[in-house]
Amino acid sequence: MMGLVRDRARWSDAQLLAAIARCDDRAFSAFYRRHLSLVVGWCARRADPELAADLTAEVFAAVLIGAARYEPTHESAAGWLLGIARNVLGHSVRRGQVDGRARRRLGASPLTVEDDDLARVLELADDQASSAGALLAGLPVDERLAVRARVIDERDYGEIARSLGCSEMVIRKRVSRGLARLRAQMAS
Amino acid sequence: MNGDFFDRLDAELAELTRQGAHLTAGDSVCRRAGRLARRGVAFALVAVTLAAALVSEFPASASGHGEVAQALTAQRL
Repeated sequence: MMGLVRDRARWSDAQLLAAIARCDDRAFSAFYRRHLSLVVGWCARRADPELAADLTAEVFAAVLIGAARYEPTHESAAGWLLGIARNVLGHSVRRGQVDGRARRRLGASPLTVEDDDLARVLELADDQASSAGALLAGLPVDERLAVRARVIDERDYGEIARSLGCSEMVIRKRVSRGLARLRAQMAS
Repeated sequence: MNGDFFDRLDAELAELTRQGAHLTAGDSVCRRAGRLARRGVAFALVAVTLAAALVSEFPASASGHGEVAQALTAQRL
């Protein structure tokens, strides 16, 4: 089993999601392991560790349901995944409790978050922050500031432009160049 | 199932993937949408039937002539 998961670790996100849609459980595990720290890190920046674990469970359940509808636009499905995370968080905020629709639809049994798991959430979030930080550190300062403000802090282009004292067009170019550079770094 | 929350989550969702739970989940959404659509059509049919029954039963009220007739009767009295 582990060997087969490792084998799928070399597959692209699009290949993994297509295989998940065809009921390939090892493809699911490979996709999950590849993106777990990204999702946990994203959720942990917006909620306490217990809620972050619960939100993560819902996000990956939604991934399973939505895998067949995935249309690859980039090499990585990270953007698609964070879009799901945003939807789950938005719905949870509106209802005042963590969204559980995807897990209910799948018939998943509820998992409880133990005290030890909270430390694991923080550990995964730190992993994500340090790997994102290491990647960002490789960018020129102007691109790093623009990418951080836009992608990590999710600020509007206009707001970033005002705070950095340049035009919105310049910020868009910096974010675009920065993301292209990050993609190249990740590919290499 | 052993391991931490995230290992258990991996094991559970991988098992659901293997079982094809996502295929059934999609079906149930389609079924629910179909049921809602059928209910909508049935509700619209009932509403139209009721309206038609009311109009055929009280044609003057439907055209507004009922109130005029009542007013004229009241004036005559």
